[in-house]
Order: sequence, then structure tokens, then C-alpha cells
Amino acid sequence: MIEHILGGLALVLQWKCLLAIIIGTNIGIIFGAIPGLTGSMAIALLIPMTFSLSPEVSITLLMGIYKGSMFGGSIPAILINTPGVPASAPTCYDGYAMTKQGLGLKALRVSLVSSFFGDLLSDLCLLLVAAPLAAIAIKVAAPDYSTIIIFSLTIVASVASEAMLKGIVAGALGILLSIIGMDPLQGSARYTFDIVSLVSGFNLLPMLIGLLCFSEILNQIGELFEKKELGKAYELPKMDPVKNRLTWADYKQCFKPSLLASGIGVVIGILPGLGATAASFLAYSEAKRISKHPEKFGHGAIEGIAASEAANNANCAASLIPLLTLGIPGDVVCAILVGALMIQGMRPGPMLMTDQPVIMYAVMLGLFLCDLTYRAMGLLYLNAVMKIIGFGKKYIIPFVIVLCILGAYAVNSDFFDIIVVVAFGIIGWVLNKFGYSPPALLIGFILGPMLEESYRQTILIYGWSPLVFITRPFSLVMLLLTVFAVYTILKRKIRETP
Amino acid sequence: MRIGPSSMSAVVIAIFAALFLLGTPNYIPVITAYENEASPRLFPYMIGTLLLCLSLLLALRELKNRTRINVTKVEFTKVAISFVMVCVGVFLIPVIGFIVSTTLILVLLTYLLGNKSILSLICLSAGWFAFTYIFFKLFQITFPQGVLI
Repeated sequence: MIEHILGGLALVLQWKCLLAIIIGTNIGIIFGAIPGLTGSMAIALLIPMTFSLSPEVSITLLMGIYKGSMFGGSIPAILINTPGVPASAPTCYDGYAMTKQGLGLKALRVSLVSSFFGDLLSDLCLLLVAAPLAAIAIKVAAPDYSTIIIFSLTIVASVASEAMLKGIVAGALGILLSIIGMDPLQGSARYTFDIVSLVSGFNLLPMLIGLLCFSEILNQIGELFEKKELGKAYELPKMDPVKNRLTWADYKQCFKPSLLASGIGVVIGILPGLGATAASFLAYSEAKRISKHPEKFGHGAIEGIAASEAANNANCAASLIPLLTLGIPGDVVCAILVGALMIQGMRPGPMLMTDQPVIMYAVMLGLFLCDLTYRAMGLLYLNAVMKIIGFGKKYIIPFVIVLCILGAYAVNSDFFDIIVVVAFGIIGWVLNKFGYSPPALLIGFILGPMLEESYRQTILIYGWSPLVFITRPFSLVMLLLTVFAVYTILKRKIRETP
Repeated sequence: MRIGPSSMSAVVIAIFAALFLLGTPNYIPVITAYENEASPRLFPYMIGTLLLCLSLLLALRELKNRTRINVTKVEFTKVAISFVMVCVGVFLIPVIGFIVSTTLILVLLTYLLGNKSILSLICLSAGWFAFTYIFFKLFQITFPQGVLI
């Protein structure tokens, strides 16, 4: 393990990797800082451009975007009460209250320090846990794998928290769409209608660019005209540099909530399906619960910002654990990273740590460098970001649309992929308007083939009896966990229903 | 503008699932090699049936709740215009080439979003042209070429 870590360190310290980390992190901060544009959107757009890069450069670039966007999301949350990414929503409560008191810069500094803290703990956890967990995961057999995927499908419930049934329908629709193309075991063509481009099914990247980016851009266009936000500018509030400094007492005050929130972020990140937003809200409420002054929360408590930001950043690296060890995406960004790994000829799963240990450790160590980069550059271009937030949308939206087209074509140099982007873009927009969750459809699309393959392998090896899922201890545990997860979700849903 | 009841979307998905189920025997060939082997039609039948049942359940629930979807006329029109623009631009790629058609999409969309300054539109298209050229060269991506260019 040590020699692999040292090999990874040598790889990640090459100038190409360092440059990728700097570029990625900065793109991430900018995308995260612009409300409506997210890190996942930036990653989806840039993946097709990474196939000429080496795996370590490509993945560190994308991880830089992910990490940068998580911090970037706190900038508009604090300054204009609009979270740049959903996971920064709890940051608004205290961040914006501080901005109104002329302490916006201090709030941003707290966000930066706590994000950095959460990220470091999470990266360390990934570095230490990934290899041992992957070694266990190799021993997982087909029935166990089926039950892991069934458990992972509970992700759908979290991405569709507002309309559970619609989320499940979208997930099932995604699985159904994944059936189109070549059968994974027999190789017979299914629903290809003699279209050559459909033989391998819908390509994941054009589909996710369409569902996540293009549909969101259509949404933004509608909202721009609806809310008459064209040309709306935001003024950066005046801030006293002395009052906005972080003191030793502030660091001390933030330490405990940051540590607790990082723990919550890591645990939630490891469990597929909960995501950074859930981690952020849970950490905020826990920080409030343990605080000596809970009444200050919502009125500018720095512990609130620290908890929310540490949790959502701690979620980043931890969510890679199920992806790298089991091949299961823990959230939407990891689902997109499946495409990035596959472009590099790497199949996400337990064998990744065995086959490519040096590259994997290079990626993990690269995460630490991403943290250092955004820690160093986070507040450098605050004024520029504010200008983009104010005037940028009418320039950014057309630019992102043509980037969607460019990105789709770049994957396979196939015109059909551009049509897929446009088609799934409008499908995503319609689904959104009717309250369905496009990410749920995407997760169904990714997990569908894995479930089908492992389930049919189970039948091939163990026969048709479903008892195999109960007699194997691992499968039984996973099934019980699934039942527990469904029970918890339903219970929460019933409690939330007025 | 109020677009129909929300149950309409569930009915459309149910029809899609039903068509998928009905088409499965015709569009999925089966080769049986081993005794225990599950047919390639097994999963489509399972998921198709699940989707059909869930979407019908959803349709009934939405019908009962009389949920409606609100999309304003301005929002719908602007999204529709943008979408048509992109579609026309995309279908022009095989004719006029990638750079010209995407520049066209970029300029028209920027104009639609309220930037009417000719100078900035020219700068924008020139910038895009330079960006794509450098980008394609840097990442060794081939241009989608049209008949004319």
C-alpha cells in the first residue's frame, strides 16, 4: 500500500496534474458561485473533453471542479441569500444574516476554513478506507451485488424528496431506457430499430448532458424571463476589513461544529443515496442542538455556517468510497464520474483498486491538493464572481448550450449523440415541470444494467429460487438494510405530510 | 397558461410502458444457450410491468388530487423559441458545419436573452470561433463538418 501511495504522489505532483487541479478548482468555484449552474453541470460538460488526457489528470481535474463548486456555492448563499448549489442552502440562514450586518467577508472566511477542514477529514477517510473496503468487495458474489444495487436504488428516494412516487417512476423509466441496446449477457439487440448508434444503447454522457445541463439551461431561460432578471446586478455590500478578520476565538468556536459536521458528512457520503444536501441540513441542526447559544442560529451564528459547509464538503470524497469500492455511485456527481472513468477505460468497482492502485492513489492525493488550491484562491476573485452573478447569465446560457452540443459530439464524434442531448434536454425540462426528477432517471439508467447483469448471473449460477438472497448472510443484511431505508423514508414522508 | 392536469404525464409514461411491453416479443430476439439462463426479455418484462403499475397508480393519485402544472405563457414561449433555435442549429450542422451553426445558435440565443448590441454580438461570435478552434486543436477533437464548410 505504501509503495502505491508513493507512486500516486509522484504521479500527482507532475505539472499536468497540478495544472488540472488549479484549473478544475477555479472552474468549480465559478460554476458553484453562479446560482443555477452547478458543479455537476460543469463536470458533465467537461468530461467529453478529458478523453485525450491521462486518467489521473482527467479525474483530478473533475474532482477539482466538484470540490471547488461545493465551496463556490457558499459565496452567493452568503452574499445574496441564493445558494449556488443545493447543499449550501443552510449556509444562507446565518451567512446572509452576517452579510446584512456587514460581516459577509467574515462569513466567507468561516465557510472557506470549515470547507477545507471537512474536505481534509473526508480525503483522509477515503485514503485509509478505500483499499481495505475494495479488498472485501472483491469477494462479493452476484446475488450480493444484486442486493447492494437494490439498496443503492434508494438513492432515487433522496433525489426525489418532494415527490417520492414520481421519483420512483422516473427511476424505473431510467432502468427501462437502459434496456435499449445490446443485451449484457447474450449480446442480442434490444429495441435498436436497426439504428447503428443505438446498438450500444444511449451513450451515458450525451444523456446526462441533456438531462442535467441542457434541461437546466432551458429552465434558466424560462426563469430569466419569468422573474425579469435580465441584466439584474448585485452590489457587493461594504465590509470593514478589521471586523471581518477571523480571530483565534472564532476558530475555536467553529472547531467543534466543524468536527461534528465533518463526521456527519463522511458517514452520509459513504451511504449511497443521502447526498450532500441531507448532510448539510443534518449537520446544521446538530450544530444548533449542541450549541450553547442556539438562539443565535439564523441570526448570524458562525457555527451554523461552519457546520453546513464542513458537512457538504466532507461529503465529496466520502461519496467516492462506494463508487471506487463497489462501483456504485453514491450521488449524482459520482454517477457522472462513472462516465469519466469509463472514458479512461476504467470500470468503477472493487477491481479498480487492484488493477490501477497508483492512479487511484494519485487521484486521492490530488483531492488534498484541490483542498489547498481552493483554500488559497477561494477569496481572490470575489468581485469578479459578483459581476458574473449579476450580468453573466445572458452570456453564459448560450455559451453553455453550445458547449453541450460540443461536449456531446466530442465523446464519439457521432452526430446521433447531439440529437440525444437535445432530445433528453427537452425530456428533462418536461419531467422537471411535471415534478419528476431527471437525476432519478439518470441513476436508474446507470444502475439498471448493473442490476440486470448481476440478477441474471445469479439465476444462471444459483437457479431461479429467490431463497439465495436470504440464505447468503451478506445479501440478507443488504435486504434488511433496504427494508430499513424504505421504512425510514416512508416514516419521514408520513411525518412531513400535513 | 395552464397545461392540463399533472396526471397526463403519468398516462403518457403508462402508454410508453405498455408499448414497451407489447413490443418486447417483436424487438427482443431470444437465444437460449443454458438451461438456467434468464431470457433477455425477463428484465424488460419486469421493469415494464413495474413502470406500468406505478404510472397508473400515479395517474389515479394525481387525478384524485387534481394537481395541475403551471407554466406561464412567457416562460413556455421563450423556452419553445430557444429549443426550436437549437434544433434548427443542430440540424444545420451537416449542411453548414459545426462552427458556423453553433455561432448562429450562440448569437441568436444571446439576442433572444436581451443583448441587442451588434458590437458585442460580433465580439461574442469571434470569441466563440477562436475558442472552439483552440479547444478542438488542444484536445484533438475532430470538427463535425458540413456539406458547405
